[in-house]
Amino acid sequence: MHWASGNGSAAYAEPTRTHRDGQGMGTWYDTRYVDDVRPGDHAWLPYSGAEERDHVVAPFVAGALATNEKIVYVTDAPAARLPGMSAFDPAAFAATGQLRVLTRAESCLDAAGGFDPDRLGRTIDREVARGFEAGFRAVRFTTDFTWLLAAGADLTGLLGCEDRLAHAVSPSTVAMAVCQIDRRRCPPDRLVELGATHEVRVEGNPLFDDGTLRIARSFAPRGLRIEGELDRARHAVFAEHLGRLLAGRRGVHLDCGGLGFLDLGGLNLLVRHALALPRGEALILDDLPANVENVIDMVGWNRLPGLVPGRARGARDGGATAWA
Amino acid sequence: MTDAPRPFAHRLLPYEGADGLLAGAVPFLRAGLADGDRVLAVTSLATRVLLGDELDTGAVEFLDPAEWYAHPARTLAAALADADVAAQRGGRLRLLTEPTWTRRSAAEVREWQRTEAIVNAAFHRTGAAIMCPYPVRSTPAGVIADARRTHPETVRGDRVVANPGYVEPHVYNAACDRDPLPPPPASAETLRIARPDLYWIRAYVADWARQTARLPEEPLQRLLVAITEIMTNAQAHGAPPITLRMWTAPDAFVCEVADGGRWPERSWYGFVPPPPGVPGRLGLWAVRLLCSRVDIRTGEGGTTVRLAVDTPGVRADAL
Repeated sequence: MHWASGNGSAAYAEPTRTHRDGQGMGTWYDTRYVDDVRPGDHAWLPYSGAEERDHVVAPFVAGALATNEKIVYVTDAPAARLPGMSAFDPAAFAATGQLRVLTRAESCLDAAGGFDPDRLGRTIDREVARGFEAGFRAVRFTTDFTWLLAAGADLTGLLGCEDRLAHAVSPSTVAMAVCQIDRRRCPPDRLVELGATHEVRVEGNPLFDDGTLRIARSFAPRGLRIEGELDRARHAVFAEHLGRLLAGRRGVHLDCGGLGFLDLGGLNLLVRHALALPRGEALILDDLPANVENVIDMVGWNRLPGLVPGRARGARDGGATAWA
Repeated sequence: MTDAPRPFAHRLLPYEGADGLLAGAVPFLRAGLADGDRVLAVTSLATRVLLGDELDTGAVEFLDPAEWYAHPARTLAAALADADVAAQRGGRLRLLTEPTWTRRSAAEVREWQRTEAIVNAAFHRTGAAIMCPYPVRSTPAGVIADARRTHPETVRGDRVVANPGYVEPHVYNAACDRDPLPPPPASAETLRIARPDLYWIRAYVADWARQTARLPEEPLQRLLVAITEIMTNAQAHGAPPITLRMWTAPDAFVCEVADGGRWPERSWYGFVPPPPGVPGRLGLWAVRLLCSRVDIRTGEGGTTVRLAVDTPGVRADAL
């Protein structure tokens, strides 16, 4: 079975966090932070914009270079412009073979310039074998498949390719792959099909996660996702990340879908930050669970200047998977 | 240009018969309409009809007394918010409130009497004008006598006279809490809290409330926010030992937090919501909005905060 997981090497002996599954999307896969992706993982990254893509791909690339792992990136973009490369000299890593930036023409196109899944499979097999021989601890592969959708190609070729990739990666104790796809360019039903060919969905590392409260960036719309319980014990860390988000103008939405508890001090904190926003702007609380919303209703939205209810609960997928 | 703050007024109108009521209320409302005040009237339908015969009530907002007199803290907070808004706009809130004193338990009457006293402290900043007509014949004599302690002035005919027996609101409020709270039942679930970990305390309360008391989710969630706030206060300002107790009473779920600390003198105990714009504004007064009742006792022996949420229809079979 192509989702049978390979054995991790000793360096990955720690159990990975599998904090959410994709059952809500009508398919099955684990969701893992990018830092927790490990050999044997054939992961996909449905993203909604360059900021979200880079938020995941940059640590994937940088993580390889920082830990004696090889990274294979299939792209027509120059190496220096790839996410995660800002702190590294591409030439130095290319010289040792740790960084392999391959153009599509040299890795996955046939002589006529068409997409050739078999060739991509052979490319990956070859790069993994060479990386292993060169003594790298693991070989990471990533590419953005969105161009296949943009080219109007039938999805069948891509699905076949994913199947080929899964066979190359899943049983491996060395290889791991992240397949990027711009969800805005993909019809929802095809997105589900595509997701089903992966056993892992990768997402950005959380800004904070202690088991009780989890804070992560969100991108469609832009802001923070807060999950778990927020009370005085974690006000300071939440205020730090909210303050940084607002100061950096990185969105004003709070995805509260996974928020189990919010205390009065937390509401005070939200109001304090909302009032510091430029005139006319508000903090938007999306997906409020009924238990939190009932409490806010009774306290009164009119007593929470600068806070407004946003997208209603349950609208999450309809909004996030909107495609053009 | 903003006008100077208007003088706050809270006047008692003891009256006999419709003529007495109209003699006081009509000039009061008329003055508000002439001044461009926001004019609210919480009256029975009968009074509304009488007023309609005397003046053009098109600009008067009539409110249902059953709704108004349902929950003292929520009503006070809502009216005060209206008064704050009116004052910010350079205007004034004018309120005619006809309390209904019959068919109320002694405890309810006491809470509304307390609210009459708190009004003097809470609305002062807004310059609101409030008039409370009390029908002398159908109101217990003790209640009328008490109203003279909670209203700075009385309207007598076309004159306004100071109430010599008026009691300063802090003093009145303290007197309301002179009697100790009834002791918790011996069967109360008791938890001594060494290190207040709010997450686990909530999980513990929620489990007990759901399984033993069958408390519905909506009041449970309000109670969890309230307990968290009280525990947070006890952690920050109180003193050990902290004890949490829970029990079910007929039609209510009760939870109390006791600690060894003592609150400062002349606290408002969350009865007076702070003005808008105060940082960290939500606090104990918001706990009063979330719960059906909040009782506080503080003194030499420590502090007890008792929170209750009504559970109409839920069998209190867990005792």
